[in-house]
Amino acid sequence: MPSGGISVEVRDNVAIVYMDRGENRLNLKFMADLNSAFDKVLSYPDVQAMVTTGVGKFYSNGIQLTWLLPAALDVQLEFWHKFSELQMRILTFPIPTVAAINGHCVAGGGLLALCHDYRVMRTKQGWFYMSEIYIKGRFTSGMVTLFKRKLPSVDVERDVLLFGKRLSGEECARRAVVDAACEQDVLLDEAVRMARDCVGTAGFDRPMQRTMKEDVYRDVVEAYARVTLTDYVQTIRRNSAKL
Amino acid sequence: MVSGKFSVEVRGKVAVITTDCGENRFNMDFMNNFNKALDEVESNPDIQALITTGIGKFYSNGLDVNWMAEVAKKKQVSELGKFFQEIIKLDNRLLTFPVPTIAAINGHCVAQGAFWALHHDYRVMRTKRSWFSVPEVHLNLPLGQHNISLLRGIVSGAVARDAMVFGKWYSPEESLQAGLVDGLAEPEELLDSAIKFAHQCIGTRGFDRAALKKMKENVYKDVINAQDTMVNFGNYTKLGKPKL
Repeated sequence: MPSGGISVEVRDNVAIVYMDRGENRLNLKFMADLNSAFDKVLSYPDVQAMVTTGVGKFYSNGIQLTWLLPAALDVQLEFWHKFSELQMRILTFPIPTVAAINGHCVAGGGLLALCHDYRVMRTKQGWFYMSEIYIKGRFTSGMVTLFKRKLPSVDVERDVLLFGKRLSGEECARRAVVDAACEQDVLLDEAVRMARDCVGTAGFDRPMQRTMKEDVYRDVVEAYARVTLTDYVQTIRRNSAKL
Repeated sequence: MVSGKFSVEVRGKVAVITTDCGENRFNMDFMNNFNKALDEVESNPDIQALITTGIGKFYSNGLDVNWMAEVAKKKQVSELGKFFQEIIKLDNRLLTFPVPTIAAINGHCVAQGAFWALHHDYRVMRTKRSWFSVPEVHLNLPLGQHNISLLRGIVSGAVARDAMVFGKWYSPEESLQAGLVDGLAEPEELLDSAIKFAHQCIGTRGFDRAALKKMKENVYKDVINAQDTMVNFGNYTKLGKPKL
């Protein structure tokens, strides 16, 4: 049961990470706590899959810009470095991952959700969108490579990335941005069911699962590694001055 | 009644290479025989399409790991390295073959067998009682960038995830739905169905061989140029049989 902050619950072979911090905005502390939760998940040898979810109206509303944009250059650099690491950690997680998108999933939150293996989203409330076009945010070549791998088609890339289109859970499912959509009251059960379906009877050897994801997503991992974060941060700082 | 033979049969404009080697696993002999059969097809100017198929329960069950283990035991590491290079060479040869190619998947199509089928232009699979999969993740075997980028070009990202990251086993019907194969046929009608595919592709005029080869080389450039290192077989574990 979520208890405020970031907590872990284990249901037999599936671990659930609850993000219960309001808008679940990303900053250094949030990401450190999320990484600790991931460490805890992996410390259980019987856990064979992980579900992440928010509590309330937000899966994650993205980066805490009110903190980040005025911050010193070295803090901004540290943030983007750690954020890239977090995305790649989820992308190559040694067990199957399911994002149970319980509400708004925006920008940085969208990136985290797309790094998961599977996505299931609630219907009737909550938007999935990449707001960067509206807030003069830029996508790194790492992020673009991730989008190409994880968004289902070029028309979805166009609508979501170029035009910042907001998608409901129903639309996300219809356009295959998520693997399924369902009512909020069964969202977590559905996510756990999807996780167990993926695990099957035998599950996966953890190092091999990690290796396979690193191989299958090598172009994404390499693109993220090649990004010159100092250049990127300078660009963001210049752009945000125009907001 | 496995003859261990390759046969090359010409039916009008279409050549059919049939492999009758049980599980049709890839070792140096298998690949040498395949190259010879491909030479025979290429040297016949009347052939305008190629079909490959097997006999019995397997299209191909993948690499001949027993043979590879024998080679490794004799410490002939360089021979294994050469073997992997030859696989890529043969894969690329099929990928850029100068006539349309159709895999008539008569049975289980697994791992290297599946990637072999995926290097063809089209795939027709028999209905029922055959699996299509790349289960390497379950065997602690990594996939090379060549095969990863090949599969990426054919199926959606979601199918690539299910098939490669999670080693999903696909029934024939699921294979069609996932885009892994282009058509299904009852086992008795498989070859005729593949020949029909071939004729549809050839159309009225067929293709200039040099132009077709060049086009495939360009369209599949990323696959051909993918950088690969040798697969590490240190972690090989025995694959259990899936429930049929």
